Amino acid sequence: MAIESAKYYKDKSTNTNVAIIFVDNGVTKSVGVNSTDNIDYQAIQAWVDAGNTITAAD
Amino acid sequence: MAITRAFKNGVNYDDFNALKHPVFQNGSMDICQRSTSVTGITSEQKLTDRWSLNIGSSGAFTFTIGTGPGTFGLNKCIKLDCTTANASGSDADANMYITIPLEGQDVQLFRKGTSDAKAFTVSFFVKSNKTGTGIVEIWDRDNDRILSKTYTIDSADTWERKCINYTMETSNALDNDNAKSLMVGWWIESGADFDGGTLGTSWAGRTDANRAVGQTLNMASSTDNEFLLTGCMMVPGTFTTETIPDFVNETFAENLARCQRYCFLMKASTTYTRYTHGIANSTEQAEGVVSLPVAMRAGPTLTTSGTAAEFACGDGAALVNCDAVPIVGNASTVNPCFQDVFWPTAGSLTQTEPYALQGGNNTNTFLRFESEI
Repeated sequence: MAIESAKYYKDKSTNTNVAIIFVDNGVTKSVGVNSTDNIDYQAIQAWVDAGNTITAAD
Repeated sequence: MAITRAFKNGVNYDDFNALKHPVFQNGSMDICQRSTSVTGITSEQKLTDRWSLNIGSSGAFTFTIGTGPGTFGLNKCIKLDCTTANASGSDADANMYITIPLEGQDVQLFRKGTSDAKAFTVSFFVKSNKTGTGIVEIWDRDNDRILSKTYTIDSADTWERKCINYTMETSNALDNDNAKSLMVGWWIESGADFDGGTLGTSWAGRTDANRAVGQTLNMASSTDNEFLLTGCMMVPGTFTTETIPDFVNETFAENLARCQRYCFLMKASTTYTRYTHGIANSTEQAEGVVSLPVAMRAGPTLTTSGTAAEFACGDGAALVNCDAVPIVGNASTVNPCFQDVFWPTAGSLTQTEPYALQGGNNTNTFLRFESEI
């Protein structure tokens, strides 16, 4: 797993972040912001801990 | 009285039969929701469902679904072919092993960390053009402890059934949760970083140099090499190839359902496949729910077939192109049998109207929900 970038996705109806869209080895994927047991979610948090930033949603 | 079977450690055939399901999912390698053929593998790669290849500095390999031995209905196997050789052991960090990770709550029957810790056996069918010594490693990921044992491929190009006996330790219990607690790995290539020490045949804290000592299969040594594996099972008790119970073949449906806890593939069979339905809750997005066939291990990751242009919002008469691939929303924390999904557009939806999430004019679109460990 190699996280290249990550960006929040905002539910347009509630205006809240519901997912993280991320690129892993060139493949775009998404994971819910509350999926704390998900290994991709955990990898994104480790990526953030390493000094990276999840881009704000549009 | 004619004694036909005897068992050590108080575990008998009835205990094994009492297992509701095999400990390993997809030990028959029948289920492969991801790619059934992958070339140029040089880094970690998913193989059949639940099984993956860890590889580094070990040349390049092709994965395909091979033909199994046929015994017990084992008609499929993981087949790895070396396509780019790497002089074995020339790189100290060379490593290569097929592995399956297991949830802690699924291996509590082995009672690791208790005074009643169980002996167990790992059995499998293996075939290779190479003869020699392979390693099967048990890795306690909760406590980062290792136990490794060897087996021998005696005859080239011949299916052989192997049984390796282990014991669980009475300390260092496994967490009783849905996270990765135990991994079982079949080492088939190693460099000094992984085989330069003394094989860890008793439970001990992980020392990488002790993990694959004595491994001589060295699959990366030649492009002539291939390694085939199937019929993998892990059972309580101490068995030999003479006493080990038959491989338990689940029905295809049972096997698939157990794999879908970790991976659920929705794959188009026609153009404009409808994946699910929902409602436009703004002019820019529709939102719906995908019913999952089983409760997934955790809120899943969604991977799709690729570009936004491959997906559309359909209202029954016309299609509105998506401007991004479908996205998962929050996972249910109460009943993880369904998953919220969004499919965004540039903004021409009619709010409160129903829309389908459809593939485009393409028979190869897919949604893949994954919750691996």
